Amino acid sequence: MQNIIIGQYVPGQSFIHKLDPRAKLLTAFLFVIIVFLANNWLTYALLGAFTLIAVFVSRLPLRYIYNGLKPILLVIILTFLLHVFLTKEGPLLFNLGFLEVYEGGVKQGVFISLRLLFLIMITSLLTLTTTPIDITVGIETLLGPMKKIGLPVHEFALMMSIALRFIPTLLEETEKIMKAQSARGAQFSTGPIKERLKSIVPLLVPLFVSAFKRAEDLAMAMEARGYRGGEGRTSIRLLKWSGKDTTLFIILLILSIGLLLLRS
Amino acid sequence: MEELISVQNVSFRYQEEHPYVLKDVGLSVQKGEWLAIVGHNGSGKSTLARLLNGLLLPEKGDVLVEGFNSRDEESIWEIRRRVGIVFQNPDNQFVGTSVQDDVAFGLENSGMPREKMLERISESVKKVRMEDFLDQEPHRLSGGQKQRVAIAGIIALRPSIVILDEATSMLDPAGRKEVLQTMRELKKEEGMTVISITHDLEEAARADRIIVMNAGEVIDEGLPVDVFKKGDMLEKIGLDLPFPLQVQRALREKGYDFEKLTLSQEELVNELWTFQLKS
Ligand SMILES: Nc1ncnc2c1ncn2[C@@H]1O[C@H](COP(=O)(O)OP(=O)(O)OP(=O)(O)O)[C@@H](O)[C@H]1O
Ligand SMILES: [Mg+2]
Repeated sequence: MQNIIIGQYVPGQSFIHKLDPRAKLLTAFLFVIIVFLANNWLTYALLGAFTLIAVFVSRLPLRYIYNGLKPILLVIILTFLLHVFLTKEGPLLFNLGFLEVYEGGVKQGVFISLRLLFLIMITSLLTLTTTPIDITVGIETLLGPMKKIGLPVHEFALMMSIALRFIPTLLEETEKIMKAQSARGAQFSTGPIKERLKSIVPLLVPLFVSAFKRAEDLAMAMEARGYRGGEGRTSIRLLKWSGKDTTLFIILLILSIGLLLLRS
Repeated sequence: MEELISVQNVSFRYQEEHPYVLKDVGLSVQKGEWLAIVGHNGSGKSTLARLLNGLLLPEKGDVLVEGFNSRDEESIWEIRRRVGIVFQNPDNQFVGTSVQDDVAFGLENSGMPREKMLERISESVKKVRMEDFLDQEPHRLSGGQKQRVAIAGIIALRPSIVILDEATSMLDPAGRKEVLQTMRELKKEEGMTVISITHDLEEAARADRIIVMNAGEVIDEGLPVDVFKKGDMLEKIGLDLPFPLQVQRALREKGYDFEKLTLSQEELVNELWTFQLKS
């Protein structure tokens, strides 16, 4: 557990790694919107090309992308099958007696599955190439103006960064308590489900007690160091918008125009 | 001597119906001294520390830090900037996700421009010798290193006083030594005033002055040699005397007489030699 990577971040030096987190966040957000512009083979091919090039440029081992897709794969397959079997459009392709498959159904199935696939790939790419703390800072800066309408942007970002800071600490502690309870005969990974569930309670209770103690201590320490909310606070983390980020936007713009021109 | 902190007749309790945790406490802290506060568990030492930087406010009496009264709302931030506290648990006071973020935390709170922050950070991590760990995450640091980062975060704000509230009690002997060494250097080179709250009387013996607390009251105050003369009293309130002193007291019971109190191993050895030579 010592070498646990928080989130999914995979360190690297690629073009995508070096982009400003704000640019990546905005791109992912805009991508979610323009994905819905695609409605024929050509536009889906265009989106596919963009996604694949992005994956290629990130120089991430494909295994990581696949890991990100794995949990959602079943959903994609199910969506595909549902569309194939339930959409009755266009010419009949074949008839197995109890079910009929139409061309429109296959097309719809493929499109929806691709749409999901692209979305997951692009968002995974964001979390794989950006540290969680950079994502947090990015969100905080992007949502900065929302502070005026009373959205607790700073508090949210601070909460996120403290959570990120304490995840390894709490994992370490969980491990320690698990060892202590194992030494007393608790079984976490073998035995009947009921027994295993029972052994979780003596794990969670001390964990919660200590987490509350930590929270109290931390609040005290933060106050002692002059914390008084986001008002008038400066930040050591600096985000730099550079040419690369603008380039990304131009690419995204071209992609959107392409989609608008080619969609039917 | 310049007085930095003045505590005047302070009484405090956490809740109205509860008993007083501090009773009519008065003390003063001089610029540049190393003051040790000792006392048994629950004697009110941490409560006192929190009163000294305005985390808690006295029910009766006043706390003045360089003339700022913690009762004035505007003064609180001035006081917090002047008095830093290093707490006991190294993990529970590390706010940032990296050393640099953590040292920056207090500076960010004060609204300092980024350029100046970077200067202050590099200056203060050097003083605690953590400059090679700026990007390190807290779970990869030892307890002693985390406490040194906490010290850096405090001195980056250029405070006049650093309070160590049992800051070394959760560390291994090596970590304890490195943290205390760091503070001693800061005291020597920067003229930092240090208040060290501790159970470790051996450490307290090296202070310039000691304050003894028991059940919410200051029961003794003075130079280490004077305070340790009252060994019986210290033992009675549940404190463990430094080992060299225990040895000396045991020998004295056996009829050996010594001229002066031995608070460190070195002094004990010297006394034993003197004794040997005389007899
Ligand atoms: N937040 C709190 N709420 C209520 N009572 C408290 C609180 N913190 C401390 N106390 C009580 O105040 C008394 C003094 O506590 P304090 O922590 O100041 O002692 P201490 O001398 O620092 O002890 P230790 O050596 O254990 O750190 C104790 O009886 C404690 O139970
Ligand atoms: Mg205490």
